[in-house]
Amino acid sequence: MLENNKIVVVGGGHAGIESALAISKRGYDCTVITQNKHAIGRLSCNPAIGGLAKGHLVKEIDALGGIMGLAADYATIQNKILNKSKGRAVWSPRSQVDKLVYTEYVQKAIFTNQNIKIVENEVVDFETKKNAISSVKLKTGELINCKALIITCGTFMSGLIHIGNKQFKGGRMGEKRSYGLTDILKKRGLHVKRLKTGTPPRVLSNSVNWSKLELAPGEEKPKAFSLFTPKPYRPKNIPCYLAYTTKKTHQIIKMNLHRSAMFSGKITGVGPRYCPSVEDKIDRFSDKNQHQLFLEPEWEGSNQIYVNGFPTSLPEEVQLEALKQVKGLENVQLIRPGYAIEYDYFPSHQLKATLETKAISGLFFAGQINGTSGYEEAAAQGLVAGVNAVSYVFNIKPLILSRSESYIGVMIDDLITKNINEPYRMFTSRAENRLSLRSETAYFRLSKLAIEFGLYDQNQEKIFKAFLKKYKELTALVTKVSYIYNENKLKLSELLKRPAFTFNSMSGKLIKMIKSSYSDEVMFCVETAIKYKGYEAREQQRILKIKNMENHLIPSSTNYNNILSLSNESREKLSLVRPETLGQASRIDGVRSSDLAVLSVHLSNKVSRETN
Amino acid sequence: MDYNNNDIIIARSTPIGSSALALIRVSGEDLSELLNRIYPLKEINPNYVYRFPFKSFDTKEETIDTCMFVFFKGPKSFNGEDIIELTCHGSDYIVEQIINQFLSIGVRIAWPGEFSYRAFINNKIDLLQAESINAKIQANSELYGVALQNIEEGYLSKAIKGLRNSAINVMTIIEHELDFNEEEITHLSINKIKETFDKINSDLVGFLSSSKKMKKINDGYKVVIVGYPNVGKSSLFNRLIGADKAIVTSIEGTTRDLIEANVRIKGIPFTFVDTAGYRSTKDKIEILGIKKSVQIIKDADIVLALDDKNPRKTLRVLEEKIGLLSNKQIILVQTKSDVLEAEGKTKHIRVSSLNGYGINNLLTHLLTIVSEKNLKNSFTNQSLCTERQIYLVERAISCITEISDSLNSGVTMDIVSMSTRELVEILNEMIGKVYTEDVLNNIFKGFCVGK
Repeated sequence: MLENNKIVVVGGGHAGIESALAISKRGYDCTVITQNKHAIGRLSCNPAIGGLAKGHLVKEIDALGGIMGLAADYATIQNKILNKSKGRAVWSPRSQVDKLVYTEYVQKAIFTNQNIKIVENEVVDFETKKNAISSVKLKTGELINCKALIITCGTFMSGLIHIGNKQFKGGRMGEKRSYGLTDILKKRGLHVKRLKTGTPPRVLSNSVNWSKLELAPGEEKPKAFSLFTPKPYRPKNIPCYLAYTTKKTHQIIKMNLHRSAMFSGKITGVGPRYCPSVEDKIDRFSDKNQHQLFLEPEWEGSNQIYVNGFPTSLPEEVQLEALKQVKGLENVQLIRPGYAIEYDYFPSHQLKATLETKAISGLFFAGQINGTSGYEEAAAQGLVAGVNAVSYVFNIKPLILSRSESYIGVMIDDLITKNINEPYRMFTSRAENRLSLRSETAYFRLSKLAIEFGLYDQNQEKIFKAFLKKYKELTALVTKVSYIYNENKLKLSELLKRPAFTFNSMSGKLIKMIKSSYSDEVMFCVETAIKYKGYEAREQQRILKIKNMENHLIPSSTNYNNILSLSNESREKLSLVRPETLGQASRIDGVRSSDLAVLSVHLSNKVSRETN
Repeated sequence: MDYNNNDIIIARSTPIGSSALALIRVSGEDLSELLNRIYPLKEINPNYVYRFPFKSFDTKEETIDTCMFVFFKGPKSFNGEDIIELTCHGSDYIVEQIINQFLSIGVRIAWPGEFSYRAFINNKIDLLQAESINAKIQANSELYGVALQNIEEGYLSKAIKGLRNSAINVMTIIEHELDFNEEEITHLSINKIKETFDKINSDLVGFLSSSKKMKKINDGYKVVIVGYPNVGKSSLFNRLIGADKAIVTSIEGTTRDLIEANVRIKGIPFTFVDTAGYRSTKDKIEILGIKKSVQIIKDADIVLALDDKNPRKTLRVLEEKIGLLSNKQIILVQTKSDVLEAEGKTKHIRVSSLNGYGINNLLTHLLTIVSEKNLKNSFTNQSLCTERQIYLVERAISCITEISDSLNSGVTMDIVSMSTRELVEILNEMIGKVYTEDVLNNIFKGFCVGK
């Protein structure tokens, strides 16, 4: 490969890892620049992967050949399916993982990969030719020629940590922040804003009276995230524990609210409403007498316990005092306090659907720099950015996922059309076609693309094809065989349509035969597909309805000031976001439907004039 | 927004209200399949007129009306697409039935100006024309109530907005449950959700009936004149409309077809319909006429039961043939009061079409009935009462029926949430946009979320 065709990835977090691996899977080289190679693949906040809607993302990342699902399966110490009573479309797998094992797995994959070169350094500047990336400049002065640059710097950009009224610069606790790149990007015309996020304290396992806490065990028959994880899958099942805040906890926090960095006005960045700090919860929901806390081990046998549900920026001594009021934590000791961190992000309407910036060709952003929060959100973007950096360099077809085919598509579309002013995380309600985008359908939706873009190795392709074959076989089989249920003999495919009937409702020879030839996963996929078929068809109708708008391109040269009949508000929004399609335009907050009609008339007119 | 150029669209081109004929226009890129539906097995030449019985698409039996159509093949049509112009008899009932047939197979009602909009897209009209349409499109979508942006909010759109908000509130509760509640504790009160939907439903049903009433006020009250042959139906009809629209003769059974006329009395539109006489007949054309009379009586608001001796007898026969007419206003009218005396002492209005005796009395009676019946419900915001909105309200109601069924049969919440979302989308289509963000914002406002 030519040296100047290289792709540089800045950062080795979840986004950077998936970028680098996707690039290498497509057969190209890349250089990952990170401050500390031993920090690659670190889980900087909670020791868990997946969860509501995030579990869907992990499955999709896996279906696109990413590493997150494999690493999580490998490092799982407890696995759970959330939302089990609420319908299969919202079932979400989540794994508590051993942070050390997870990081070890990821690092091994990166360090042994021939196409990935690691450089411990920091990017401080970049150069462009004809407004396209041509090289990056390192802190130590060297230049690396490159054609594409993917920035995935997490919370490191101008990171500022707050604990009570103390503040210090840092990217994460104990790690240096990066500085300077923001100004360079600003000079290039990109807008920057501040966000904040927080993390709870870590406490010493020995100091917890575990016998006083409620046990929270995992699933007895856990399911792997990844289709490619070796079977049978039997991960560990180490329990977590539940504790509850008390009135006294609340009192202490209330008395000290003014000392919280978030409340004293020291933080200018906006925090996520869905993951409020404990002081925020107590302030806003003063009628609640208790809040739930999950005590999660950070790794197997770990003495370091993550207090899920207690993110805070109160002074250390207040955190400790408040925690001591919790039953079972009377003698608790902190390993390190919770803290809030503020960082720079670039409002993501400045991106194309490929995650390339509109301002500079070959410059891609993924992860928290786009205003998202969460490992899974970052990883998914990293993967897309990596694939598209290769497409960009070689001028081949990019990977653009639609809202109707994946959660990743929903997320990216939201990012580029919505005004993101709090850390963005995935929710199932963001996906209007939620009933089709079930986590188990990820492979049927995305594997074809993974193969097309070269994101599966030979083994993965083989596993997927075998899985697909089995799935098709069983789907055909259930339409042929009958089963006697409640004294009625019915086609199995008809019976499976009933909400309460599953393969598990069956007994006798037939199910024995099915179980001996088909995996639980295949059976689950087949029965769920049958149950949701009718609903999927309805969602499909809606998708077809809007497809035309999605395919209607808006030239990037469109000058909204020349379209006289647009309302001022719409004109402003359209000029700012510069949507790539009419579909995107329709989802921009504040753009009126009447203005869309105007725009559509204008565009058609333009097209017809040009063709004349 | 529904501006999908791939859709086949339909609209009535002639104004609402009765007329001799009405024109319905269908437009789409390729209508060959549709043509085959309405006029199967025959070769159709563009620009030729075809006469045919319009039959219901699914049963293919019942004839709705005898129609004519002309097919214009794109690009040689006014908007460059395939166009069918269908002419039927000008009754709202027939037009609605025909349009419903098309809607049932996926054709949708056109947006205002949409036929012309397509003409522009297809380069059939120039920039100047386009700009004027452009303005029209904008004006109309505003009319359809992007409610938040309208300064003058309509009564209906305000009310629909309220219902949409209740639906969003339910959606908020459900979405909170699906997206944030990681513990398997159900906070959902199914009964409370059902209650909210029941309330929305009863309001929608209310709108529907008041919308239909308003439409009625706009379209006029249908007054049907019924009676035995030769009792003077057509004479009275002519008296009432003040013109010789119906052929008036004394030969039994002359009035073979229905004859309608629109008249404004004190500003209120009435449609008077003259029917064929009631009697057994072997004349085939007349049998058809009588069949139609039965339908028209069923559709009528007011029935004038005529007889020159005892109008109550006419009413009795009517009830035998059609069943009870409890939802109609009946006026018993004794005709030919100039030459005949009434039998018995039944309460009825005596008129003479010849010298005009009693006609004013009859008209006053009609107006009293109408004002008592409906006018109190006011003319509020007639402009919002479009067919499109009625159609949407009907869809919303069927959506709620589906939700109730789901809740009663233990269908999981992910699926219920889809129907709820559809309901919100439908209501939304009437008044403006909703964003997922609205629901999320609600959740953040109302729930303590996050661990």
